[in-house]
Amino acid sequence: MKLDLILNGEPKSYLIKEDEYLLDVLRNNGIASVKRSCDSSSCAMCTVLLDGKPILSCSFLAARAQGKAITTVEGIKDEVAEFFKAMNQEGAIQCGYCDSALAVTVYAMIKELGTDLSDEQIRHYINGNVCRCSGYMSQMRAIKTFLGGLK
Amino acid sequence: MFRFEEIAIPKSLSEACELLTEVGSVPVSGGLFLRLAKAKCRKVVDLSELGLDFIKKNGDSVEIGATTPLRKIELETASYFDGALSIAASHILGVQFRNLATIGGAVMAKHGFSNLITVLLGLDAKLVFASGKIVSLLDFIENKVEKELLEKIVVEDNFDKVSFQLLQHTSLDIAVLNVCTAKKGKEINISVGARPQIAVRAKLAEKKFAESGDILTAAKVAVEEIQFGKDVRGSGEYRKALAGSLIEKAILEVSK
Repeated sequence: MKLDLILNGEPKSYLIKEDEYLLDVLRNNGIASVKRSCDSSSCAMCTVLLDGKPILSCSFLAARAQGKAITTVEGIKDEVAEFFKAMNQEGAIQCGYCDSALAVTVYAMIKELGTDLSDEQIRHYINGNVCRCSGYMSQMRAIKTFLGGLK
Repeated sequence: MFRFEEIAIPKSLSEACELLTEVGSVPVSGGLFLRLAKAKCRKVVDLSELGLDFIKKNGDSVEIGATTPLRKIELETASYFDGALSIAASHILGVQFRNLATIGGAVMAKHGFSNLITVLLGLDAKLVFASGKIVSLLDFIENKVEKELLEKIVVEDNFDKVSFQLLQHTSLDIAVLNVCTAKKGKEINISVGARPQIAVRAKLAEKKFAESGDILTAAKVAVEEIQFGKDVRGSGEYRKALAGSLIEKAILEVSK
């Protein structure tokens, strides 16, 4: 079947299998920032924005994205450039596997909740983003540095 | 992985109902567990475009559309039921999961670990099906309901006080046990879920509390009348011990 969507602001058409998942469609078409990890809705490495809201692309049937706007970190490079700088400064970039998903989630958090956020609000929002290297403290520092810079 | 040959995305309930009469068709709501399912079907009927993503206040009732995502429930029901449904939703995995998972999916799948079923059972929720049939959640859990398509869930927001309690090993894990109490006058509803089986009402304890108003006695009776099982998260004995304190705390909260 044919899938038409807006990927990072540009109209795209893909030929997909009816039972294909969005993660597979994106990765098979060169969007390598969206990672496959748990493949079972648990880790959020595959996070993309669907009409602005963060979702798990590993568990989202690609056919459901018909006519929708999908955003990956490639589409918000400029907006999250300072976030990656803060991650680097705080030692939060370790293996790097989860960083793109975290950047997309933080971007969505700011769009949804603004920049004046408590630690508890931040933790609750990024709760689903699993990282096996950082221990999360450095990520928290980076997010707060990034938010501080946006105020 | 769940495999299928065809996907249909109907725009109306009647169209969905018709598609679901076809042999080999299966309804899919959030679809979050499809990846884990080892099954095949001919056609998936995706319910996401039916216009059932809503939360409406209608007099004393709150109507929640079947495909309302958990994130919306978390954000938009905080002012109803003392926030119990909102809190229950907020403890379910991450925001990405909650943007996709739906209340109808949780209820119709009868997940034992569901936080939402425990709260809805405590609140005497009613299920309204596309056929027009209305069934209490309690009946739906206790009896086999023929193949039906859920349209919405209706919950009265007229309890004096509602409480939701749970224990999770980590914030990303499902509950080891969850409890909801809802009080109206001298009457109380007590539901206990993630036993790990589906939630049940502690009917004897409810009766005992209405008669005596004694919190400790009601909690003890509830623990004795409910069956607790084991899974990777805990033994039946552990859950039973935990239930005593969670139920006591939940009754205490609604008795203040």
